[in-house]
Amino acid sequence: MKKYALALSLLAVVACETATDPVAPFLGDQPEIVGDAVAFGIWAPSGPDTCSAAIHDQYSAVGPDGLRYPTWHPPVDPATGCTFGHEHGRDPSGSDLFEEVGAIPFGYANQHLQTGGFGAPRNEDHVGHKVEWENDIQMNVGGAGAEVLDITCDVMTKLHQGTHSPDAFTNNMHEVVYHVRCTDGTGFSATLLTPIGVAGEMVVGCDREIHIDAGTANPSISPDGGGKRAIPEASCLQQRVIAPEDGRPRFDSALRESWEISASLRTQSNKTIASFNPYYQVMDPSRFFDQAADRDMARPIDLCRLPGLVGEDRCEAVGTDSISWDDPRSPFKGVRRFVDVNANRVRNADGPNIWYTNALGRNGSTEPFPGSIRQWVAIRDNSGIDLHGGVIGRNRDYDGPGVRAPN
Amino acid sequence: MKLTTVALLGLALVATPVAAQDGRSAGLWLDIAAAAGSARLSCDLCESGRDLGGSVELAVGAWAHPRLRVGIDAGALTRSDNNARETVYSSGVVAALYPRPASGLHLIAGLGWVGFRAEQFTYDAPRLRLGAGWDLPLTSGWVAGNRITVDGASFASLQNGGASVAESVGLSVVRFTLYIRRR
Repeated sequence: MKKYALALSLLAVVACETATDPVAPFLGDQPEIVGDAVAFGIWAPSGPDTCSAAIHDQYSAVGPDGLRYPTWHPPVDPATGCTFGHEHGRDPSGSDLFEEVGAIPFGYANQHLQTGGFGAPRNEDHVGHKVEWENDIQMNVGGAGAEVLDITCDVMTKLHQGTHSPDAFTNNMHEVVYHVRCTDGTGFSATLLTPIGVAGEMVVGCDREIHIDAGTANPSISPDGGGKRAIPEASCLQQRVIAPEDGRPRFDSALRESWEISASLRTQSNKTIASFNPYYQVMDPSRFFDQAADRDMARPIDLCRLPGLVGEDRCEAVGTDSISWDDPRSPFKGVRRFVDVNANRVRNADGPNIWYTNALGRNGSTEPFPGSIRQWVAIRDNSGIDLHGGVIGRNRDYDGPGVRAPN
Repeated sequence: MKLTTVALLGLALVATPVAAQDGRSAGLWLDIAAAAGSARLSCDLCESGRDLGGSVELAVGAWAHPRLRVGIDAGALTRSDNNARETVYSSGVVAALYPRPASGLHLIAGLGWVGFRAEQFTYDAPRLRLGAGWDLPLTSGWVAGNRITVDGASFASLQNGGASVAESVGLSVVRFTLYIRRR
């Protein structure tokens, strides 16, 4: 077991000894491993990947259900030097929250969706799990608050955000993990499958007024959610890359993808106890929506072969080579990402800290029930502060040796 | 406020003959002032900066004794930062004691209310004022001068839109003031 599994085990020991610690969703008494989650062991090497599935599966975290889940790992295995061909974002062990919340089990909410009463499964691929975090974020407070109050937060989040396949064209249910702790006492740890926008519908990235009915969501009973999935569409590429008015192609502008979440944890009486609405943005997805293409999906790398675009803008790195969409040399592999933290609301003045919700963050109860997920919410009401955060990861690039689409 | 006014008028009636003995003006005095100052809220979450703003003050009162001037005052200190305007209002009773008969040096003390406003943020608390000043005679009826005062307040909550966002918040206001006063 690699260092994250080891760290989790050590943290479990610490957590057992410090009863006054806030109880994080994945700490506390660590159960024995009773099996593997659906999300575990689904990755296998292909193409130029040099790591084996066995090496990959050494990076695991045990959920409170005793199942083994995949978790964050570097793009290159430090022990063997082999490459996985994908990355999961920023190493969570650097977050100030890591000691408290531990490693993030990828797919935990997906695992418990049906047990909690939802009528269909929703499983997501492995490479789409992306971690981002920042310590001591200077928060903005609504109105004049920025001049009056000085509040910082630690934020660590993970979203399953696949930008290499047609999944997100129609499918709006994606797993999000969100941990926040602020100096004013605001804080929560939420794990849920959150519906982002309307099921089966996407919004055109370069013109949010245009909504496209992209097909039937999987699962077909996916509920609609707040927010939106703004995804690049062929017209964006046409206007901003292929035939821009000023003749200058701008891939970043055309391809920028923004998944704008409106997530919440709610009680059985539908009272919101915590809500957040971060925007997860990707500048270099390896696909865009094109109804004229097979599976409605085209590849931006193919545009680099057009006569006017050879060697231009993001195609500069490609030169005159003809490379495939999943080549590590492609500049479009979903490694340039950032998160707008936005609002962090807590309405839990009467407590308690621990709530059990279903995988959709609903039906919150103080007692666990089949399929429930343990959430932690500070005993606080921060309604007097419109606490919202800035951007994290704006200047980071998660490219690494061997990293390629699908990523 | 009515009580204060009545009390001041009463003091004026009593004070007039006493003040006149010392050469200081009899009866009511009126003080108009402009100041540079800064305000700072103090709490765990409060922004720690202290930026300069402009202030105006008006005070009126009477001589209670040739060395003691009492009255009521009101003022506002304001500054704008990143399109957000912060204003500190204050009012209360004030007294100025002249320790040496022939000197313009005086010590200031006051009690009253202070209110902080920044869009939806509000803070209201009792305040204590301490300071010192120096009168310079201009004419027989007018003096000019300068003074430095510090207002302190504590034990109140900072509100935003009616909801408390911080408890036990302190507020301090420092002003350097130029004034003219009808004696």
